[in-house]
Amino acid sequence: MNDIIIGIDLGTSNSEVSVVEQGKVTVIADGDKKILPSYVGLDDSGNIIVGELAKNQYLLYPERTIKSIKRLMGKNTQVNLADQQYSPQEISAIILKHLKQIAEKYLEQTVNKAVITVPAYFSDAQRQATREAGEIAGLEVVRMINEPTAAVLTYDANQQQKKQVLIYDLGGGTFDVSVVNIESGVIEVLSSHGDNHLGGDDFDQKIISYLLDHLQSTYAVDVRQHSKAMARINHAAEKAKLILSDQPYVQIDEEYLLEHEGAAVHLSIELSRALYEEMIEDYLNLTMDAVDTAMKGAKLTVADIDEIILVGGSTRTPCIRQRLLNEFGFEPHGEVDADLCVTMGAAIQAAIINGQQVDKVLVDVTPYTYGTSAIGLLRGESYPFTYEPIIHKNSVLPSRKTEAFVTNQDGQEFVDITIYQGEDPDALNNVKIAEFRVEGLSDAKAGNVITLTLELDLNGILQVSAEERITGLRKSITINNALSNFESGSVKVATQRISALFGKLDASLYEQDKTQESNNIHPEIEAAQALITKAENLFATISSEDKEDMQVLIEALKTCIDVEDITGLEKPLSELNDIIYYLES
Amino acid sequence: MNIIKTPYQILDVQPSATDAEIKQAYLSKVKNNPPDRDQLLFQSIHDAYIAIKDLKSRISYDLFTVPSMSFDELVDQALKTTQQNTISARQLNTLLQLSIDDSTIQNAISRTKKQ
Repeated sequence: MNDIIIGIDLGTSNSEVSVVEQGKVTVIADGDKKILPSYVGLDDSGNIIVGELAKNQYLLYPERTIKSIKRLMGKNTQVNLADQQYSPQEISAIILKHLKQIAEKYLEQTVNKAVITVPAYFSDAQRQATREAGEIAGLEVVRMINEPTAAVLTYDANQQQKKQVLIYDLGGGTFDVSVVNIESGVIEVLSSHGDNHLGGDDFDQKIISYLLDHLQSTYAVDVRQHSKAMARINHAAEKAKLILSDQPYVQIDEEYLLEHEGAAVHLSIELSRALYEEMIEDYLNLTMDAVDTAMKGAKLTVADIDEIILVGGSTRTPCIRQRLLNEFGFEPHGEVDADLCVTMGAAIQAAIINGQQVDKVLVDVTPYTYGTSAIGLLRGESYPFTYEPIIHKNSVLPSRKTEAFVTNQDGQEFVDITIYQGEDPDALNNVKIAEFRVEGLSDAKAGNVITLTLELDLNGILQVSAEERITGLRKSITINNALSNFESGSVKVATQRISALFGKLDASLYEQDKTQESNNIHPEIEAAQALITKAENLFATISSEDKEDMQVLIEALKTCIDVEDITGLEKPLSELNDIIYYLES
Repeated sequence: MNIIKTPYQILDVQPSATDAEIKQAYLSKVKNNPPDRDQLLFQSIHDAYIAIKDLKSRISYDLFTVPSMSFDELVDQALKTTQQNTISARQLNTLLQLSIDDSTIQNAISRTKKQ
């Protein structure tokens, strides 16, 4: 039997995990909650907490709680969590590891593989960072698929009629729009466009600025200096935004926000939907511009679109529906669950990869143009950094393209090749994503042919190779340096660091289970199962000797579990615990 | 030398097939050979579709029928035939990417109709 592959939507504000069983998609709930807030924190005793708990403590301890980490993915930066520095990949890995555990508990088996969704407009670096987060969490990322595309996978693709669908996906931090053709069981993405830094968080920021301005003018106080008060304002702004989705007005009250010059500062103000919509109008204009770009990319007009699907919590904002209605002349589709369709699509893609589900096929495109720079003409003049696109925006994945270039000097010994992402004819205005040098070229006249091959795989990750034709001298690179330049050095170190944090979490889970005791499973058995999972997760990183020792103990534990021999569990349990403790320290 | 298939053979369609027939053939090939299973096979199906999906691409294909050789072979051949005189990058790429624009096709079609 194939390994189980779970589907994960790793969102800016919320994350979810699902799995396909007997042809049906289940979004796996933790307790009674299917949605896990993407918050990570450390509690009073230094235990790592994820989700609802972390979100709740954010108000009290913003300095040891992290939210919206997805916005930093792919950046070479660190975040501070209780005086420790973590890369964005590590924080995301904590969320992924928590989701993995939720899935393992539900499935009663270890899970090592996942399909993770990313915004369609995520860059190469952001995709690499996401894959690394998966690795750190102990998950092999068998595929990354684009969020809007995942949403369409929940759709019945085998309808009689051909359908052209626009997906408008506005999440907490990112915006994507895709145009898709659904026909004969094939889901063909025609074009994708978006913005990596546009989402509900930005809407919150607008309300926050409004509240801060109000406090500044009423009390002459700059609340930005007070982290706890800021956390409350953040929370109040988000709440107000949600209420404005249903109500024309919202009253925002936060009493005793802080003390200023001996007097208490209270926040009390009314915000109308009309004013809020005015605040976010520029953002919505940007999304509608992106819709136009996607339509042009697909070579379609509004009349060609049969349906609109809304994805992401931020699409609950009523004026978004209104804008789309004005543009297309009909209302967006209501059947698709804006919060859960992405994780469900990820699980469906996982099932397709696993061969469990074969009734639909996905064909996706890259939203970016990739190319290199060369001496050429820019606006009629010779320019050394003319952009030479190689893989064009909206090319079908996987894509492999080769172009020929020539040296421009006699006896040129090397060429420097720079790879860019973007559309601008001036390469320097595009995003530089890699550079490398091919050395040791043969002593040839100018005009020595170098071919450059760009390969974009199904995950949207780029591989580049260059070859001197006359000698076959080759050099290739995978754009794979997202993690190499951060402090802890490697995925392996990060994996151990995050696992160590989870050692503490496992104990707290165990405590919870003990107090609940709602079912008949002995807490000792659950603890043993949890430990087995933990031990098996370590297998990849330890010596074969340690592994053998652990396997003997795991066998002993499993035998005891089968016959519910609680006292028999004790000895192997403590021995296994010791080994794990020794390995992790 | 191995037998090289034309886009029509890859998609199992007649050279007289309509746009709609070609699209259906493409979709059914993709359904049976998803990109996940065999990336190279999928790419050859997709390339075949792009080569003949509409009138413009079919005319272009008919005019410049190079048996679907790999890019590498094409480059080598281009190099062999032009080895005497050096060739600029721009010329080489133009050579490899010869195509026709819409107006040429429109003119050609209207002319054939008149005859």
